[in-house]
Parts: sequence; structure tokens; C-alpha cells
Amino acid sequence: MSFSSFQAPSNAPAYSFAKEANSGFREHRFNPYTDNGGSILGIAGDDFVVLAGDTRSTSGYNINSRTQKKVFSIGGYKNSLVIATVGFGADARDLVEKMKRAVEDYKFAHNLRDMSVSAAAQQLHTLLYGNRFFPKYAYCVLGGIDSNGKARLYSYDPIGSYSKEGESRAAAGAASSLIVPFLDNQVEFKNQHTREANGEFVEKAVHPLPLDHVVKLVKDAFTSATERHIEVGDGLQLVIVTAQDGLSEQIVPLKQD
Amino acid sequence: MDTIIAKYSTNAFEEEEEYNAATASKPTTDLSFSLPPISQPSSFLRSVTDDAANPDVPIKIAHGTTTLAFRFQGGIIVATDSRATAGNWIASQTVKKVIEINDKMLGTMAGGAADCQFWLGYLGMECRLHELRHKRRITVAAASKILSNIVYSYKGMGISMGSMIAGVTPLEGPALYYVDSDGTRLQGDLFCVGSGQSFAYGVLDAEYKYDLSVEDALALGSRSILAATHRDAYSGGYINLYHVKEEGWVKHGFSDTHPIFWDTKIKKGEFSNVNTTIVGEKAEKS
Repeated sequence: MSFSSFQAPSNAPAYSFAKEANSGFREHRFNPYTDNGGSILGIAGDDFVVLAGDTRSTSGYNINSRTQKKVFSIGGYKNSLVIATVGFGADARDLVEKMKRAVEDYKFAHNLRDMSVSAAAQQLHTLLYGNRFFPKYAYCVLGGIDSNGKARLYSYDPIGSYSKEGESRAAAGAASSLIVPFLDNQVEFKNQHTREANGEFVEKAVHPLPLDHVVKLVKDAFTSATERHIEVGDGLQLVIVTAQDGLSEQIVPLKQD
Repeated sequence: MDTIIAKYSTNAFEEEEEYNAATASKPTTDLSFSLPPISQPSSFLRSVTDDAANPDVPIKIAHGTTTLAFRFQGGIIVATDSRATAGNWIASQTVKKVIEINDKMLGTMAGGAADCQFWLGYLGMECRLHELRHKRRITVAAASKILSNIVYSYKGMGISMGSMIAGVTPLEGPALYYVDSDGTRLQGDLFCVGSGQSFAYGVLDAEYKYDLSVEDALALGSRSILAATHRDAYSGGYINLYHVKEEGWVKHGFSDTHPIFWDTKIKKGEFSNVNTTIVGEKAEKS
């Protein structure tokens, strides 16, 4: 609604002949990103991958959703490919949609063969780097089962850098600085030592963890992150991919405050 | 009849063309990057990614490195650390900063991790195409020039990389080039690149000789990276060691710096500036 007689309060002098104080161009800062908070994490076992994310979506100090999922299935080899994303929700979702489409296109371009995890990993790298000069504000973790039935896990920076060898654990998002050190210690056994029979201390040997143990670690990581990070909470979406049983999802409640 | 066939066959072909253009995800080779809808894309990019100018940028690109490579009697030694940092945060301790372009050529990664990974991967593709087109392996000189021409064409757009290309070819023998995102391309015997370069140069320059044995050369590469991880907070993690020979490159391990440091100190008596007791506490006399 507007009235022609209404004059908005102004700091400009009230003379009709006064020079316009702010002439010339004024450009608003181009700000295409919002940080929607939340955190994701992934752990690979021998023949299973667990990808998890909280279900809270924030903007500044506002909580806009308590049920926004961050982990998505994108099909591919034995329907095992899953992506978890955090950062700006819109960019994250766009990436997931584009990956779903790439997986579908790959199938029709390769005699109905499903895309492998390693191919999907390279595809996501290319996709992210394609936005090198207008980056997608999204941190991604990609998981799946390879042709030998072994678990694969990859993590990316916003412009597509990733390790081709894959990882045993990955975390990203608002609480990654809380979760990563916990994972270093509990999955990679960093700075843990065991005493040998001869009394010498040696680094604790790394071995793939069983599924029930991994699920416990994931829940502990998120309940702890919820305690200490304002952008994490509400619900925990847990997606488990196994070589035998395929995909399963569960939602565990987290604190709502 | 012919007109009918012609009509349908051309249509089917055109439809397929249209399908490809509309739905296929873009191949690497067409290299069309998306740009923000503003007049100065590069200043926008800087405002959201340059964490040196503003620590609160939303997108932090992994940085910080020590990499080195040197030519010697037995070929080329390539060594790197493995730390990636985003501001003060250690994003990874296990980055593979030596990129295997093909089985005879290596590239090193300093600067933006994704920039190096993408363009050295792209260089690998160009090198393979060169082999197919010319029926002979590309020279290191030509390969490094492909890379420097690419990054020079994107100059000012925000790409950040400092890379060394090392390889052995029948034409050149062992060859080493330094290429960076400013467009610099240098041939040389010895380079150190990254935030820890000066610490690595310090050790490498002091002990370097062209006539070094393979064993001594590998040890010197490793020791120079160790020195850099000790004094440069942005370097650390693991020492990634490679030896490039006439037959191709050989990997000599991805080893944790922590035990190597203590071995170097205790067994070789180096790093004697480092106390084994807390500063202020009196060292036990024995």
C-alpha cells in the first residue's frame, strides 16, 4: 500500500532544491548463500557404510525446520549410493538432484549398467569443480558399496577436492570441529596406545568396526554435538547401506531445544 | 518412400542430438564453468573464499603445504607433507599431494587442493590424447606447458596452484618443471613449493649434490619435509615420498612424521633444540 502524500522519514535536507544526497549507482552486495547449519557424518565398515545427519535447518538463530533430511539415496550400483550434504540447503539439494540425474544418464549411456561408487565419486568431483567460479556452498560425503562388496566413503570440499582412496570416516558441517576429533580417536584410534607383552607401548592397530558399534558411535557423536552446538539437534537421520541387505533408514530423536 | 525414410531418419537423429544437449551431464572436455550473474565474478569469488583477507568467509578452501622435488644422478625425488588447512582448522592430515599423471610422470599439489586435483587430472587426459595422436609419449616440457597455458588463460579468476611436474622421457632424460597459477613456468634442478618451502630449502640446499646416491637422495627429501613440518604450522601429517626413474616412478611410502621426528632426534641426535622435558622443569642429570 502506498500514499502519494506520505513522506518517508529521511535524513536528507527538506529543501526541494537541495541536491540529491545519494545520486549515482548503488549496488547491493551479491549474497547468494545462507548457512543452514547442521552436521553430517559418515563411517565405513568392511562391508557397510553409515551416513548420518541431524534434521534441523537453521538460518542465523532461527530454527526453520526440525524435519529437514540431509542424507539422500541416489541409486547406482545395487542402489547403494548415498550422499549426505550440509551448508546451504538449496545448493546441497541441487547437487543431489544433479547427481541423481547423472546416475540415471550413466545407466542409459552404458547399456543399463549401474554407476559404480568410484565413478560417482569422480562425477561429484567434476560437478563441484564445474562451479569453481561460483561455488556451491555445500560440503558432501558420498558413500556406497563397490563391486567387491566393500564399503567406500568419500568426502569433498565445496569445489570438489576429494581423496580417490576413500576414507574410513568423514564429518562436515557446523559441528564438524566437535565430531572429527571424536572420530579420529574412536575410529582411527589416533593417540591410543596398547602395551605389548614386552612392556613397550605401540599404536593401537586400526581395524574395521562392526555395524552395531558404528551405530553407537554415530549416536554418541550427535547427542554430544547437540549438547554443545546450537545448530544441531531435533532428529538424527541414520542411513545404513550394507552389501547384503541394501539400504535402510532410521530417525532417532535428538534434543529439541 | 525415400522422402518418408529421410524424414524419419533425420528426425530421429536430430532428436538424439537434442536429447544429448538437454539431458546429458556436461563432459569434462567442454569445460564450461558456471559464473555468478554479476559484473565482477572474480571479486565475488574472492569475497566468499579468500580466508587470508577475511577469516569469516563461508567457503574455506584447503591450503598450506610443503612440497619439494629435485633432480639428481639417479632420477628425480618428489616429496610432500600431507596436511590441509582451512584457516586454523586442520581439514585433513592424510592428503595425497603427489598426483600420478601417468606411470612415468608425477605432479605435486600446493595451493587449492581441488584446483590441483582437477587440472592435473585434466593434464593426464591431455597427455594420453597426445600419446594417441602422436604415437609417442609427451615430453615433460610439453606437458608442463599445457598446464601453464591452461592456468594462464584463467589468470585473475581465483585459481590457486603451485605445482611441480616431474618425469623421465627418452628425449629429455629426467626433467623437472615448476608451474604456478600466476603463469610462471620454470625448468630447474631443485624446487620447494608452499608455506613451508623456505624451511625445506634450508635443509635441501645445504645437503644437495647431484651425485647423491638413491638412498641418500630419498633420505634428504624426507628430512627436508620433516624440517618443514617442524617449523611450519601449516605443514604436517605424513611424508609422501616418490622416486622417478627411467622405467617410471616408484612410491617410497606414506609415513607418519611423529615417529620419524623422534627417531631423527633420539637415534641421530638431531633436533637437539627440542627438549624432552617441559620447559622450566629441570632436565634430569644422568
